[in-house]
Amino acid sequence: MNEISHLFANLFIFSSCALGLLFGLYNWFKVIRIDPEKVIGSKEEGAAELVEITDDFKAKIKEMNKIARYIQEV
Amino acid sequence: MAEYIYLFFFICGFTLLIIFIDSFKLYTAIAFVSGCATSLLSGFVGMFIATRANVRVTYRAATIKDNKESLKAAFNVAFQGGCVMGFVLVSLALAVLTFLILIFLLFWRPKTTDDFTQMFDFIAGYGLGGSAVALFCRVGGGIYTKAADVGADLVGKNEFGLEEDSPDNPATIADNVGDNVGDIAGMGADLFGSFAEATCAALVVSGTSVEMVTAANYTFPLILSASGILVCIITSFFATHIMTVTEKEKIESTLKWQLLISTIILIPTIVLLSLLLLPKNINFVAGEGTSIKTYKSTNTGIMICALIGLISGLIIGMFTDYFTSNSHTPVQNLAKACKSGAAINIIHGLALGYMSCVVPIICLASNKYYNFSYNCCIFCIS
Repeated sequence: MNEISHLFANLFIFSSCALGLLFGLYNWFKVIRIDPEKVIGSKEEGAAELVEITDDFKAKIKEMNKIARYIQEV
Repeated sequence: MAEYIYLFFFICGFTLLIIFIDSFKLYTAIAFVSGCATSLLSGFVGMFIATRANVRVTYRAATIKDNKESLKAAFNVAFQGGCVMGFVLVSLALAVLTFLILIFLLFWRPKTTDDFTQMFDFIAGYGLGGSAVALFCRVGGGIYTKAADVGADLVGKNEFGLEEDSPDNPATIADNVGDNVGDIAGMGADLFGSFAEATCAALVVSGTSVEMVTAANYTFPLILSASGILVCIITSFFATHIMTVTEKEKIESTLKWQLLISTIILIPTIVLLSLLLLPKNINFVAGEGTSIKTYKSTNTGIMICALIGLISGLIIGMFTDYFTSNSHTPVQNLAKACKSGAAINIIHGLALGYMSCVVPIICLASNKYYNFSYNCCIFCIS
């Protein structure tokens, strides 16, 4: 043989790519179909909790800055 | 999103520059934009699935009561999440590159080796596109994640006594976003860049050989990559269905076996492809005018280069694991050195970094069949 025909090359490459893409998509659906919201909670709940944590953190930083300023003054 | 907006302006500007440098020809610019778009799409798919897979791995690990079953399910979700980007990236990269070659063949209609060389020179813009995106995602994402990581540690750990990646520290979000961009989109773009550059380089060199442009012999590097996809599909079933992870200690060995199995299956594949598809003697031409030189190569030489490249990849992978995994002595010794202070830590870490480069350099230099750049390109692709 020792020669690659255009038909073989294109068929082999594109079919391998198609298989690879399909396999990627198969894994995609295997991952996506798991529904974690039942236990972990919805995105909205998570976002609300995050805002709460951030506000709490900001309040703590304000408090720390106040203390730091007070220490500097004293 | 912000990074992608900056990238858009960079790509537009760079495309105009390429068109200007190329005397207002559009070929390289088209290849460059295709490379950028494919790399960005692969990175986006990777980030999209990684963020979702992370939640699902935690969910699987936390909700299944049986330890063995929970570990198996969590590992499988993590592995499948990783497979998505791996397969989508390589398949898209290869399909777009092959499609680009077909389109250029249709418009360019090359007949001589000079025509082919020029056509593949234009197609090399595809690799440039991949590297340009990799530069932004890998470096940009890397710097951002380090800044966020250090910031989060300084405030969270030192001032509030929180743990590493604590959910009570909002800066952890910025750190994880940076990890996503740098380690997923960036790593993907980096892999894409390496693949596209090595393949385009092999195509450019094959354009100088009459034997390679006869029929479709220049597609050999593409066929090599395509066979890699098929081998990896088979290999991935070993991790999820045959060598299932039921103990913590098995995770590392299962991933190592992936490297080993794919290498074992690829060896006969490369031998068959090289001996059956390539001409026995191949002459490559380099230089111009009176300084033209002909370099001879054989299908056996190319096969040996491909095999050495493949085995070098395996050795480099194993050594990287040895120098970076906490289950081996180098990292354990480094951890002990950390107790002696910052200076010892830095010196030991730096020395370890230098030492880890020795084996990869020996692997790269050991190939005596590097008598011409085509063999070197095939070595890199393998």
